[in-house]
Amino acid sequence: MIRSTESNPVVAAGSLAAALAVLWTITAAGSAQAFEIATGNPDLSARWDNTVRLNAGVRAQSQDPKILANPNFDDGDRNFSNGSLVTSRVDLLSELDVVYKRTFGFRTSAAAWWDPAYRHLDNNSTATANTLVDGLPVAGELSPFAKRYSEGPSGEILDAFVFANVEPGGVPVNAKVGRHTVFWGESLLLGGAVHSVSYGQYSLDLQKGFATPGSEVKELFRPRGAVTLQAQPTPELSVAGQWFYEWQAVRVPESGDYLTIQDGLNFGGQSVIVAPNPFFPAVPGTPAMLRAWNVGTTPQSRTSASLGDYGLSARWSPSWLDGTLGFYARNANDILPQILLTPGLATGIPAATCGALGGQVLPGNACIVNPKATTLADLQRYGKYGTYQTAYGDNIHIFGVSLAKEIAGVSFAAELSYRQNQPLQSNIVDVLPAALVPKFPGSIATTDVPSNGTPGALGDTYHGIINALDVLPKTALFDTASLAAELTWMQWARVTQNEAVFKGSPDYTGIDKVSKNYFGLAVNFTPTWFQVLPGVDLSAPMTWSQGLSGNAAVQLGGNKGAGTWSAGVAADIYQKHRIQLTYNGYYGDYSQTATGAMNVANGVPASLSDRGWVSLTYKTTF
Amino acid sequence: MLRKSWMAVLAAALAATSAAAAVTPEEAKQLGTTLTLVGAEMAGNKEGTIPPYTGGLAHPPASYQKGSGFRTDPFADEKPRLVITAKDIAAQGDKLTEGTKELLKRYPTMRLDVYPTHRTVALPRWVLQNTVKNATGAKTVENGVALENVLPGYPFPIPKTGAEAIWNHLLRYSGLGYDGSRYENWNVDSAGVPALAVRADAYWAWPIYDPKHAGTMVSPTEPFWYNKLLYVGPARRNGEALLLIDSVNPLEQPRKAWQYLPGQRRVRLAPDLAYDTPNPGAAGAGTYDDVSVFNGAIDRYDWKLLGRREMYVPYDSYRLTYHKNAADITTPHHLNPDLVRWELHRVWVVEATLKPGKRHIYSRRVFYLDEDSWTALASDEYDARGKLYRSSFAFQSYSYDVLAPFGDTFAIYDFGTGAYNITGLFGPNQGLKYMTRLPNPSDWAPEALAGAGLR
Repeated sequence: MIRSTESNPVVAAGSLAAALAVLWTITAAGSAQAFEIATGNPDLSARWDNTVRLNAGVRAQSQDPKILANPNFDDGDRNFSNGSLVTSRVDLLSELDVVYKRTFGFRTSAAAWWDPAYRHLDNNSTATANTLVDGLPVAGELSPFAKRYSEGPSGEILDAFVFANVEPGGVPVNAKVGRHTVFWGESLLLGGAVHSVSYGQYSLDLQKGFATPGSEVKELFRPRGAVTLQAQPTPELSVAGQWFYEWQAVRVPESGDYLTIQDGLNFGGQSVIVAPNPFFPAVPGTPAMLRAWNVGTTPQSRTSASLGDYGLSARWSPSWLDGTLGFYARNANDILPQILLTPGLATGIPAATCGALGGQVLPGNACIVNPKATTLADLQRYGKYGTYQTAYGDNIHIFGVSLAKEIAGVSFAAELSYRQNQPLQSNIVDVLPAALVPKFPGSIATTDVPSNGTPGALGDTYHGIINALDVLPKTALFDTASLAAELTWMQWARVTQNEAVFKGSPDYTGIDKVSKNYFGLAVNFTPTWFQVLPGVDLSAPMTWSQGLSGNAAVQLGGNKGAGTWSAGVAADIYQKHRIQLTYNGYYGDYSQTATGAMNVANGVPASLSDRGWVSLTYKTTF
Repeated sequence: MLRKSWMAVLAAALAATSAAAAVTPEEAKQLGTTLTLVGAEMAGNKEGTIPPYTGGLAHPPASYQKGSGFRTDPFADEKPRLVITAKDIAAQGDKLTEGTKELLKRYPTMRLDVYPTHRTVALPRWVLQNTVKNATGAKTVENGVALENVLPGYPFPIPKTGAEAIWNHLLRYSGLGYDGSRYENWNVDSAGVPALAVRADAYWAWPIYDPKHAGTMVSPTEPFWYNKLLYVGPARRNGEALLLIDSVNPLEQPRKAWQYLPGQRRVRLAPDLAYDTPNPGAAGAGTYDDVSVFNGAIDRYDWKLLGRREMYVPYDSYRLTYHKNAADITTPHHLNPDLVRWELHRVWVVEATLKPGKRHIYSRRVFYLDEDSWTALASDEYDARGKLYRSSFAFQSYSYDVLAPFGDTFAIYDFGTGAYNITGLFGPNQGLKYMTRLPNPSDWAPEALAGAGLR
């Protein structure tokens, strides 16, 4: 299907209005009570709750020509011009709990969504499009992944687990089996989650988190299949163990989404643009640029049960401490990928060398070094340069301690952890014929692509978190206010694998060069005014998070000067309906090419620094 | 806790000396003769509108089904002996709290149906015995903010100071605990629209009132009140859980609270929710220390005992606490007068004045404590300019099946916004069930909340 490349906000707004009308009818009809299902048995309780969320968002910032000039960061940016509707999304979260005697039960939850704003995309830059149809780039086209998760209509099951609360020998034990989320440690906000002992215990839905204001946190921390046991042998001591039988990567806004992180990522991103195509325009129909094609994730075996993903924790609250100490040991899998690029074409290879490699000699010292990655025919017809794939680290050892304590009425918490075998910020790992590997530091041979783990930089890292939660009483400015602040720190200790691609290696000079130490800060502040109108409480949620110094050695760990912020006004009506108007902004530095294009973005917020937008959210639970 | 400085110890010693001779053995002999064992006047009033104390309601009424969480009204057949409306303010003003008068003045629909007075409260024998021992043994130190030598029971049946009287309210006997009973809180805005604020299962316990504790002195840092709430409503709060532990003296061991937030599937230590921090469950109409009319630390106020007075107060409120349909209760501007029973009772009047240099949104508060149970039945709260700001009422009903006064249904009226909140309605669900023994201590561990939380 070829889309209209012209935006039609009238149609989009019309369908939002229609959706709103339908939902108002539904919520009005269901507004009497939450659904406590009458079971006729006092020991059996069943609850079914539904949260409906409507979002309308409008872009409030002009496209940055420098970002548009980078062909691997422009697709989402081009899809929505300034002032256009970037989202008109309807979300439903449905939750069903059935509990017998408060002892046994199950829980399922499911989400559904639809965003008609994605039916009309402004992008007409075929030359820089990363989405492929029949091997050729098409502007304004969503990959199947983005089409499902950003546009819909679609849905998915989230929680699906059974649980039991029993007391063998007087020791309370809680067991959960199935797809659920349990999350250890003391981290509070997103920056803390990356540096926490809980890293990798859940997958994160950053697509929903970035693009759908008002999302329930329980939708963002995505459940995974696991068995969790928690026991309370004494009032002061709690121990828990967890074993996963399912894995899931972080979900990011993918190619074509308004907030696309990078056009080639991850499950739906279909290609990255590598270089100008030497066959253009000599070969009719061939694209102007060479592209590497995404061939998916390696290894595929991660979905099987043999993950080696498990952990133990103990939480101890001795009375002398007047607080809680936590101890954690986990063996985890990464949820963020490293990238392996397998070029088919190489330049600067003399014909003799090419021949010795068994490659196909092309004019101008070019050589098809890997016929599995491309062929002359694919090169000429599609501009196919090679392939790339994602790889996820495994066998990450995490050891941590935490402390939670109230000091002067403020809830403070801290974590300190050490990780071994942690994937580090890496450049792309080239996968080359064995004979070329010595010439390209950091590359690996085609025969050495691992079936588990990742060949990128790995190392040992330290991570620290300090956070605080407070509720402020009435002042002249507000009736009450809540404050959450979190300081994160990390340091890489040593590199244990493939230092040549590590972005902290002495040879690397990019703007995102990893520093030894990193500090980041995030603050959420929400003043509230009660009963501004009858039945209406008003609040002004504000969030800010930024890398303060250094660039973190782990992905999404934070970059100096890169940040996100939001400021909004929200009305809570009869503690049932919530309407919120928010401005969402992103900022950060990027380096430029000689021609003034964004070259390297120092952190995700930097590549989104022209994507400021205003969102209007309505939600209710019934 | 910070170590006390020498000065503080010295000051405490002086205060202790000055308070030591408060109740003489002769005075204490009044307990059981002219005074009841908790210090109420044994006699009725001369008009006969307050009867003498005859031992309380010793037996459940015939209408009560043993084991039921719904306590039937033993006085269901009675008719009001008096109806008070705005025009009676002048004549009855000395027997009405300022908040009651304000409601009568503001709303023509407000009225007090005054029923015959019943002194229903009867307490377990061992609590009474300890109370008599406390009369001469217990004392406040550090200018009233701390306690010494208290056995589980009312510490000061013959109070000499305002602080002693409020301590009786704070350490009042309410039974052993509530066993996961579901209650509702409702907010009614100034336009008269009710909104569900909280629906939760309450596991409450008062471990010092475990009969096994009877012979052991109360330690200031030991837990006095465990409060575990499992939220089921409003729907958006379903799955949240709260654990709150108050010690006997919150100044020595401040309140500790943990929250289970379904989004994070994790138990998190909550900031200190105390003093005048707004209680979100009341949509800003009340503070944390407004819960059950007053709770928490008393150190920000000077407390003055203004003596005993006959007042019209909500009493024997079975009809309200156990009423099936919350919508009948939450009428515009004030609770449905048909469902509120008022009686004439003697109350202790205690005035709290904000100490210089301390902060609180209430500059002055007046509390009205039931002479038979020490429950704070009503209060008036004044803002910084001395204007009446809020008023609260507790709707006590005596739980005759477990020999415990129940005073945790309460309302707070905000005269600034015209909104009010009613907390602790047990009628719309399965009623109120009491614990028969304390649960396993591990059930009160914060981490156990994570197991209890499902969402």
